[in-house]
Amino acid sequence: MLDITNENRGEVLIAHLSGRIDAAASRAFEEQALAWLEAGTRSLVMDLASISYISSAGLRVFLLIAKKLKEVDGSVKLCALSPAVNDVFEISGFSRLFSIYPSLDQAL
Amino acid sequence: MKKPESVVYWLKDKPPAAISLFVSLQQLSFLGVYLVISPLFIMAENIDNESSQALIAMTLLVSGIGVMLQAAGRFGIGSGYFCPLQVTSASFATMELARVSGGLPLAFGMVGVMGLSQIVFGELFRRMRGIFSVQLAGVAVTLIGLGLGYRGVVLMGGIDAPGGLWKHDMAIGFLALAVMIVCNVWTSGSLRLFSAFAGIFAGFAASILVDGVRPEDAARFAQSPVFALPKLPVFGWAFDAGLVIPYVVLGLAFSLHGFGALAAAQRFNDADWRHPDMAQISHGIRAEGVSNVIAALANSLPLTSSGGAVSLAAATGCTSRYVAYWLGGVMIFMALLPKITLFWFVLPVPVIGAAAIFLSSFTLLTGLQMIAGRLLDNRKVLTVGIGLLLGISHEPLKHYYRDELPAFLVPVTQSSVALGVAGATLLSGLFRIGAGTRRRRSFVLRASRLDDVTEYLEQQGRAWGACADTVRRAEYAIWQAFEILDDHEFVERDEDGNGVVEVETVVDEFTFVVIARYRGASIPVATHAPTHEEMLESDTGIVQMAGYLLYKLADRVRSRELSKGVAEFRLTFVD
Repeated sequence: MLDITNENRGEVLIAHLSGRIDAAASRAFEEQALAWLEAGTRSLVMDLASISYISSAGLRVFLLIAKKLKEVDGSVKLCALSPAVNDVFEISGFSRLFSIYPSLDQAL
Repeated sequence: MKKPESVVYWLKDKPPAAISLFVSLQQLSFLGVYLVISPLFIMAENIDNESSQALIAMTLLVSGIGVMLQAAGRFGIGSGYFCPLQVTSASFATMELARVSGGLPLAFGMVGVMGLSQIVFGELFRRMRGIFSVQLAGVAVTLIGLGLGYRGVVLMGGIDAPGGLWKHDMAIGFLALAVMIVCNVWTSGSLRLFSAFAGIFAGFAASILVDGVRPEDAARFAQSPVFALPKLPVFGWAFDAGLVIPYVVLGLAFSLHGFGALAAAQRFNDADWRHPDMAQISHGIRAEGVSNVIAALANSLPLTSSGGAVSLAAATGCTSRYVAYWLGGVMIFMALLPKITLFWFVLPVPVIGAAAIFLSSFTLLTGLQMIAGRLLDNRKVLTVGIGLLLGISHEPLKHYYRDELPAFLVPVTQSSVALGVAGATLLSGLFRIGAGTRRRRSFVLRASRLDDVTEYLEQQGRAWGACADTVRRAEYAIWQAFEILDDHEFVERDEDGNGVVEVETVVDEFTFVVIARYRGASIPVATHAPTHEEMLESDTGIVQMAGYLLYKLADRVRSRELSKGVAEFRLTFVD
């Protein structure tokens, strides 16, 4: 299960994700993320404090978001990764693709 | 093996000569106290002053040889760690038993039997390495810390101090503790390296300046020669077959204590420490045994590995094995200078109490971390809990153990470490009965939840006493594999559309292996990550990334197709 809520702070859209980003959840996550981008979001901060698991399918969605935002000179930041999720970002090499912050306040 | 941040001179670092000398003197100032605090045996036996001097000299000499043997680690003797030996009052009950039976020659001669038994126990421990788990090492190190702390409080209060407290001894003890803490917490570099020595020296200087020297110590100083060659042997040797069992049990107690001190030395030297290295510990206990055979021949008091000295090395940031040679040399040199050994008679006992309290904090916390860093099932909780309780019961029930238990068991009860570790070892062995190392469970994909897998693997992890981090990696990897198996149709479905995966776990003291078998095709394991384009353009990229995550999360991965349409992947996690 993946729950997604979002809020706007000025130009920045903050997405709070909680649960697991597995193959099934990735589809819904991708749809939601594309909807934000289509709505004109250019600055995205994703709060992953409550994410306990992310699979390779979930990583693909993050890659897609980064690519789409790069095309429009936007930015994406990730924050508050749990040690397990952080490990996966490190192992996959995705930690080099994203700006990662210890907390939401620091990401903002 | 990774260097801990708090260590300045690591195991194989060679400190400058001046640093090595001062660190040796610091160690000696701490260890030497056991020579003076512990001569309850000397006093009880009413040994004359000359013989007691000779006994101290011989004990220093053998300690010097012992610490060098331990650090050298040559010919299967010695662990290669800095782990000095010390006198302990835990041996006095057994030596008293022998003295009553056949006099001092028998008490000292039988120490050789103890030493030989330690050589055998060292080998036995190595063969029983499945029983000597991380938790057991944690119990031993915790009890060393508690024992040091208890001894420190007793000495700070001047309880049982030979001759009692004098004038401002207690205030001087607090001054010494304050100096140690200030040097250790608020300074760095050389001053931190010598924080214990600074405290002991400040206490010694304050004692001389404020209170002077006791008349009896002044007389002893005047009578002692500046230089004297040790006599070999002072009391002689004798053997009595009837005393073999008590001395072998004493050897067991010393070996268990040695296990604790050597496990602490390994832990203090490696930030990535995960398991006691029983081969090194076995060699270390062997060195202790050889030292005690020499002790018997030279008529020195029996010696055991000093958890306090190991803690001192760690607390002050110098665990270099090269210091062992300096310390050994200084000990042998001091053995020739009886006047200098009187330093420990003049030093107020609360000063050493302060050092023991200071060091116990580091050791105690290390022991607790060793225990708490692992998942524990009920068997391990009971092993640790009862082991600690037995160890803690040593002080309040010391007299009960000594008077009420069969005489041959008494040696094990005269040290909190030996008593606690003996209890925990027995339970650790007992609980291996019926504790299978293989477990299997079938999971129906889609019907199974991550929580089911997590619960199953954590249960296995607790039974194994695994690191929480290792089990977390295993859970992550297996769930990633399940997702790929299910989502990318690697598993054949039965007539009800269910894909079944049988998961087997195999554990031993070093590895945690998760094997998954199913009908279908094998998962491709990738040794490199897919490109971003591959990830975005097709499902193959996602499968490749999954295979790459498995490859990186586990220490070893094997994925293959077996006969009759069955495939298997095997993830090995090294703990």
